[in-house]
Amino acid sequence: MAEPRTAHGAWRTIQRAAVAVFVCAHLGALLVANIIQVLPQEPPALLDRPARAYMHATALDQRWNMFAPQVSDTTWAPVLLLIFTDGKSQTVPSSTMPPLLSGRTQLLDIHKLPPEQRACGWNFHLMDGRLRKFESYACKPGAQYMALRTAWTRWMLDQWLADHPGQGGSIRVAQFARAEVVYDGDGPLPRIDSLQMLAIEQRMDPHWPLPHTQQLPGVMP
Amino acid sequence: MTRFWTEPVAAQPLAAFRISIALIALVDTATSVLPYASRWFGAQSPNAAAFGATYYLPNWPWSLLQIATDAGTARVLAACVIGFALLSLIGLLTRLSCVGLWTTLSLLHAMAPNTLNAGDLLLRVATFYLVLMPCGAAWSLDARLARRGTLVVAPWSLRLAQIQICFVYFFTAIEKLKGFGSLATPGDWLGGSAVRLTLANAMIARWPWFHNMPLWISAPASWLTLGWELLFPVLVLWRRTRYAALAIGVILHVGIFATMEVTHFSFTTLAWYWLFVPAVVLMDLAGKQTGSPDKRVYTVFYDGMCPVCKKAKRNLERLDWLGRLTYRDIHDRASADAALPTVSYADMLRQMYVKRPDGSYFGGFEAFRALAAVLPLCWPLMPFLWLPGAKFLGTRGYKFIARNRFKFAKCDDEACNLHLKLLAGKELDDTVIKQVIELHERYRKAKATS
Repeated sequence: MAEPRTAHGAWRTIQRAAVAVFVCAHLGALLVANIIQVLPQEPPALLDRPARAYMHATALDQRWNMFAPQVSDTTWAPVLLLIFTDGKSQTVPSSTMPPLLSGRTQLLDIHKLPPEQRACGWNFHLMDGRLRKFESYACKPGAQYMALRTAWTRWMLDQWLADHPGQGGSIRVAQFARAEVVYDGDGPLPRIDSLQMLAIEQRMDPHWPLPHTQQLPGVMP
Repeated sequence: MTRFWTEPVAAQPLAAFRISIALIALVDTATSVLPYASRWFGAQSPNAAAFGATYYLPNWPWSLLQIATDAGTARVLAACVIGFALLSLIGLLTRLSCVGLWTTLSLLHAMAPNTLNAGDLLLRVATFYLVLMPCGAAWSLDARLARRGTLVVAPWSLRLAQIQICFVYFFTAIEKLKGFGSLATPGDWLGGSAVRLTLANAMIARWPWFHNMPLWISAPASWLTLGWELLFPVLVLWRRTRYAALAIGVILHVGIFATMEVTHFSFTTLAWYWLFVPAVVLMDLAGKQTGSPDKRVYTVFYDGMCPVCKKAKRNLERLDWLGRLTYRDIHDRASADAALPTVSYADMLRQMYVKRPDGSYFGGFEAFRALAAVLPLCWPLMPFLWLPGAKFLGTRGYKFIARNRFKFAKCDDEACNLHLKLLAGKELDDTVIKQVIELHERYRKAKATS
C-alpha cells in the first residue's frame, strides 16, 4: 500500500501537535459529557461547563437515555376533545393511529361499553414515525410537558378547523386527553381502558376556544 | 496503543461510512422531511411549540436561524441537506460537502425538535465525524479525478468515530441499568420485561403478534441486548470477538427495524459498523480494488470426481450473479498446487477450499463463510455465520456432510464409481487418500494413452 501523504518538517510537527491536542480535547469532552449524564449528582460546573459547551458547539450533545427507554406497561394515545356550544362533543385521535380510537371514545364512560366494543384495531406504523416522540412526551402527566400538550392540542385543533371551515365558532372548549390502551390476557387485540384529561394552558387568543372548567361527563379526571 | 493512534489505516471503511450516511440523509430528507415541510414546520406546526417550551431549552441545538421557523426556510434547508448529501454520496468536493451536510442538518434539526427521532440524532453525530475524516480518499469522484493512489490515511478520525459509537452503546446500557432513576430500582431491562413491553406498546410496535411474549423469551432477549451493549466497546475493539459482536449487532438492529417503528435508526446505526470492517472485506463486497478496473475474483477448489461437489459447483454458478467466482479442479494437480502450495492434496479431498484475491484462503465451513460475501443471495445469512458458536456448529456440520457426501451420489463414469467406492462412508485417513491418489494417477494415464 502507498504511504499516506504527510507534510514535512516543522509544518508536520505543528500539524501533529494540533491533531494530538484536538484528539485529547475531543475525547476528554466526550468522556466528561457522557459520564456526567449518568451521575446521580450534578458535577462541579468547572468540569461540566467546557465539556457541555464543546458538545453543544459540535452538535454532539445527546443524552443516550433516548436509546434506553424504560417502557411503560401502558400505551397512552393522545386525543383531542372538542366540546361544542350545543353540548355535543367529539374526539379527534392522532393521525398516527387512525383505527385506534375513532368512534369509541365519544365522551362516554368507556367502562360501560362491552369489551368487544372497546377493542381497537392494531396500528401499523409502517413509515411515519416522526410524531411518536412528541406524542409520547405530550401524554406524560408532568407539568413540564404542559407546553407540549398545549402545542399538540393547538396543532390538532388547527387541523380540525382546516377540515371544517366555518365551524370554529361552534367549539366551546378544546381539551387534551390521553387514552389508555391495555391488553386483555391472551386476547389478540388491545382495548381502550380509560380516558384521562391532562391539563393544558388555555389560551385567550381569538382562534382558541374559551376555557371550560366544568367536569366533563364520562371522562375520568 | 501508539499504533492504534498512529498507524495509517485503509480509506475504504471511511468511504463506506460516508456513502451510507449520505445515502440515509438523502433518502430520509427527500421522503420524510421535504414533502411534509408545511406539516412539520411553521407557526401552526407541532415543532413551533418547542420554541416556547422550557423543557427543551437547556439542551437546545445551536442554530444560525433561531428566528426562522417557517416552512419555506425548512424547505430550503432540506433541499440543501439533499444537495450536500448527494455530493457526499458521490464524493465530489467531499470535505466541503460533508461540512455542508453537517451544518445544514444541524440547522434543520434545530428547527424540528418535536419531530426528530433517535436515528436523526445519530445521523447528525455521524455527519460531524465525516467532517473530520478524509472520507473522500477512496470510492469518490475526488479520488478518481485526482487519480490518487492514496488508499491509506491518518487513523485518528476513524478512531474517534469508533470510540463515539462505543460510547453510544456503553452509555445506553448504563442508562438501561439505571432503571427508573437509580440502580436501587431496576427497571424493565434488568427485570427482563423490556422487550415484551416494547413489542406490546401500540405506539412503537409494528405488528400485533408479539404483545403477549412470555417472560422466558423476553428476559433472555432483554439481558442479551443489555450485556452486548455494555460489552460492545471491548468486544468490537478486540480482534477475536469483533465479527461476532458486529454480527449480533446486525441481527439486533434488523430485528428492531422489523418489529418496531424506528424510521431509519437501524440503518444509521449499522452504517457506523463499516468503521470496524477491514478494507479487504469491503473491497470483496464491492467487487473491485479501489483504482483498479479488475474484478476481485475468488477461486473455488472443488473435487471434480465427486458428483456432490460438482452439483455444489453448479449451484454456486447459479448463485454467482456478480461473476466473482472461478473454479479449479483439485485433480488438476499442477494448477491446484501452484495456486495453493501450502495445502495438501489430502486436505483438498477432505474439504472445499476458497482463495481470496488477497491470497488468504479458507477451508470447509470457513470457505463457505468467505463465499457468502460475494454471493448476493447469501448476504442475509452473513451475520448468522459469524455469531458465537456458528463456527463450532458449522465446522461439524460441514464435516458430517463431507464425510457422507458419497453415500447418496450417482456417477456417470467409471473413475467416479471407483472414487465413490473408495471413499464412501470412510474417514479420509492417509491410507484412503493414498488409494485415491493412485486411482487418479491411473485414470489420468489411461486417459492420456487413449
